[in-house]
Amino acid sequence: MNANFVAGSLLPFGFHRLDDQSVVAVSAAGDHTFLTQQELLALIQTPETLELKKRAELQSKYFLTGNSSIGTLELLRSRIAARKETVLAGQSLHIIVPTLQCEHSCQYCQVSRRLEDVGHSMSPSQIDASCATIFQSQANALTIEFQGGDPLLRFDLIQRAIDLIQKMNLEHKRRIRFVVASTLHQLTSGMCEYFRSNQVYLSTSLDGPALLHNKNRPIPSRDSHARTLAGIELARSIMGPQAVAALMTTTKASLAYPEAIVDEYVKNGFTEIFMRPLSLYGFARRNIKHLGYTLPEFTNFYQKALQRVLEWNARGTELREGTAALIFNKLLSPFDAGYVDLQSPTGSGLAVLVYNYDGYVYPSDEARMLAETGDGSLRLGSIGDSLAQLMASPVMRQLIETSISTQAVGCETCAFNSFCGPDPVGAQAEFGDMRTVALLTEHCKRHKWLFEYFFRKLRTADDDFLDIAYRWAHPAGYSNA
Amino acid sequence: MSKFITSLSAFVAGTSLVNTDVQALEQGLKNPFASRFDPVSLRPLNMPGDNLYAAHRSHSSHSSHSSHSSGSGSYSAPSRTYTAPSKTYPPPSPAYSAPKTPYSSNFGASGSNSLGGSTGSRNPVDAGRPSTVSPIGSDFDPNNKKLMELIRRVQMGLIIKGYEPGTIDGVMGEQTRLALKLFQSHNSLPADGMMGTQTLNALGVIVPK
Amino acid sequence: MRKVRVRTHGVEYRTVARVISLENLSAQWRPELRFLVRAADAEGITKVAQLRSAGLTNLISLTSSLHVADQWQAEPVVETGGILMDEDVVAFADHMNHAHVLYRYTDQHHTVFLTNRCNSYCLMCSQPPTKQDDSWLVNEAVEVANHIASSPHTLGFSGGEPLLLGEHLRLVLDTFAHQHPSTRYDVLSNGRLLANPIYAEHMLKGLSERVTWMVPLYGHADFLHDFVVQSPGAFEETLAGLLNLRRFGQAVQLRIVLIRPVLENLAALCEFIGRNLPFVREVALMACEPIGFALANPELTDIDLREWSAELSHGIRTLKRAKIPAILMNAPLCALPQILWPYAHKSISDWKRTFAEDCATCRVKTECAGLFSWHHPGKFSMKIQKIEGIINV
Repeated sequence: MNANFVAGSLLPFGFHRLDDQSVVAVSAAGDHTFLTQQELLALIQTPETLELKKRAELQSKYFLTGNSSIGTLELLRSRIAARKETVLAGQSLHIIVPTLQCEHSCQYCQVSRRLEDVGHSMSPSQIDASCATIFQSQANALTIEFQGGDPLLRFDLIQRAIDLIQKMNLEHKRRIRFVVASTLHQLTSGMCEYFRSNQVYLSTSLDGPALLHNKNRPIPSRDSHARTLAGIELARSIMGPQAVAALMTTTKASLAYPEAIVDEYVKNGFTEIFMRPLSLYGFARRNIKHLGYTLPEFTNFYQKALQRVLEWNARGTELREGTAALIFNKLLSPFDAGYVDLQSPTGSGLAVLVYNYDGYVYPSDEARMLAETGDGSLRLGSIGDSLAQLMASPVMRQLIETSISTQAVGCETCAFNSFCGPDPVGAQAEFGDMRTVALLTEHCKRHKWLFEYFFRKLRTADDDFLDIAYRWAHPAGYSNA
Repeated sequence: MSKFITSLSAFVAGTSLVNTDVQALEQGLKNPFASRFDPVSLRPLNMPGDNLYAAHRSHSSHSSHSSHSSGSGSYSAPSRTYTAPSKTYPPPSPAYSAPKTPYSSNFGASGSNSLGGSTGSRNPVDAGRPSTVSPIGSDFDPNNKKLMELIRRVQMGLIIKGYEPGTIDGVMGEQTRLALKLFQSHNSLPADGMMGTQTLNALGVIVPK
Repeated sequence: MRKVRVRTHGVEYRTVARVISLENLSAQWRPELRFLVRAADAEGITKVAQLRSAGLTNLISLTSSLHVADQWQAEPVVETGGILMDEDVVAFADHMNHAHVLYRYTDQHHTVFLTNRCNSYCLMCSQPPTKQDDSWLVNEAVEVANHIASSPHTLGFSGGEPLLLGEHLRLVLDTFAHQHPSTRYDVLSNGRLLANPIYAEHMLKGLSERVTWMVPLYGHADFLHDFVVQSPGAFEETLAGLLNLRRFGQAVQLRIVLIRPVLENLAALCEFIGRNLPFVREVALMACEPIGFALANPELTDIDLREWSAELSHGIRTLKRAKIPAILMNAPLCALPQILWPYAHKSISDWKRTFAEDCATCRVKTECAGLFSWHHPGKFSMKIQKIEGIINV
């Protein structure tokens, strides 16, 4: 069904070669299509010769315009705006690090200090000043996350912050959620009851089976795994079954146990697992030879783990894998799920702010960890500075300038630049310079691999896999019910 | 001969020749409005969205664009005034008083703001106003509105029961009072001419709310 | 529209009135309305005549007896052997031989017809447009709003294209919303004129939140949609209109009529909706009514839905992935694969619904949407096959 007609115009798009006969092409809206070599050439040179069905698809995905475009271009603006919401609607994630104290002495941990090391905590007035800055954000919904160290070691400071924010919010009327990231070893039922009445969720680390977890997370009593599980159980019994989320960090030791790690999550009643690679910051970077592994080692591990997750789903056990979910969100959903590491311009400072125990404000969790290794160059300012002052800092300007995916060298022609963005904080950690060409960074290599991997999965997907992909692609909690 | 183009490819071939009016509209929209609006949020209504990793280190923004207000300042919005309908409801006869419809919206009427809607009602082909069946002008004294309504109902009730209260005007005049007393005496009620509960019940009249 | 045979005299112009019994008159009577008062016999008509002469000139007698009516040449009288119910809102005139029942509370579906004019020319239009000025329908719609005694749960406005009425449509919507604030309103519109941002603002700003716009979309690319509505440029205008509806916080139901060129691209259309119009409240997939232009274009519209199960299922699965609710309308259950039955709605209006002979012994008849009353076996009809055996609905 071909016909001669005046074609509309070609819109900007990128493509990524999958093999010598086919590419995946991605439009400015982030919609994708798989094209044969012939179709690719026809799209560029003679779109009027495309079969009408293909032409309709390419128009509907913003590769070609039709005869007029009053609606399409308006829609395209909305689509792009929806992808940029995370970084344009105000800082919505505010991380407070009340203390660096922790009982663990993890090999890959960058930052923590021993329990007895009492000097590494915020003052109450710094807590108060942080809360004031939080409400200067334009974001309608705010997540306040407490990290450490182990923040439960300073429950008094958590409580001070939450009480103050709740009180301030009577006037500000934002949608607020609190998250406490902790080993849960110090969790008490009293804390749980307080959390339950203040919309607080818990986030903990679960690296896998006891042997692996205890190896990764040593404490003198060698029972980190058991104590975390006890904390999870306590929290669930008081705060409800969805009270705790867990995430894992992949160490060199993890690489041999992809299935066992996944099974551990199912065994403990989690409906989500997040297979995270080790980040190369701080102490982890220093111990790289001992702890590190190559990208292929990780991706090999990851594929096996994902396969296991899919098997559980096929058997009727719901389990969402976080890395796949965030990639599917980018590829399949019009709504950005807000993953701060994949934003353009960067989510660091635009979507996240970290109020650190040391009295400074950082643009991301990684930036404050970098400071622990001696590189404090990413500080935006001090706690107590207004949000406007923080945003006007030279560091913030450079973070933005170096992280626009449609402009950065190497990114501007990348097919995945609708989904991705340079990570200047990562570049600073890896190369000591946030202006490092993004293509050279670990961040780029890993995510390029992930985008290509999941595009290949989608190309050959059956309906059941697509059902899962779309289900995971939705921002959690989003439903039309 | 069909008025339709029933083949898609024939339709597509002809399309580019006949859509000049569309392009004209597009030109009109590009200037001066289009760029002045914020992009429209695509989120479902009352569905602010949520983030993927509720308990993790990432976050979404929960669409907060106030798309309604944006743009209202970019051009002068003609104010909608609520006036008694005139164009739409010409009083067809002296006996007819225009229905008190609550609102008439006054769309922008000047220059480029004028809309291509109906040009107003010409006399309908087979409709119009009855000459012999006419609604009555409303003449309530707002202070006594409820009382007058009650009296009106009593007057109707009396006529339906076969009495003669005179004109149904909502006023307890002599003739209405007499008719009411007569009705009361025929129904073993105290003939006091008052609109008591028993009397109203006997008349089948409901007190207005 | 439901019609009832009547004979009238003394009603020179088309008149809208509420049917009422004498007993209820005093409680419901209002000066600005007109009432069709039941008068069982000569005595009843006498009473109505007395009320009229006492000042209630907005009454008309309604009698079932031609004989009785004939005695009252001086009084306006409507005579019918048909069924009119209390609180029906009806329109009638001497030159008509029937009354239009514009509103009946007990009906499941209520529709107010606003115009016969349209700016599209759909291949399967069930109500082919005309060009005459029919703006009197607006006045009548306002009259209907005023004459309805018991507010319906939901009321639809249809055409033609109601947006062609411009400010008069807004007048109708505001009047209804004011008189019947608890009612939900559906407006059947192609949304094209809402592409104009100034028009959209005037039509939508401050509009009742109880309005849902039911907008047809027939393709994911301009030429596919424009072909079905036979109007170049319509797709882009409808998209821009949909965005303006969202801008002003209006609820939208997208409507997809299942004719051949639409079914051929259904899954892609559904994917487009999921990606680009995720704000819509739901998508209604509707079997084509075998009436109007559909009869003129059988090669495109006369299909056997049972042969398109795969496309239908795929489309609905695609919408489900995008978390967009889907409903199936106008399709009898036997034309759908059983997996889609949960999506099927009993959508055919009471006065339009019928069943075929075969349906008498069908096991799922009570759950079924049925057929349009203009269904006739053979060509152009819904292809059906009664369901036998044990079925769990």
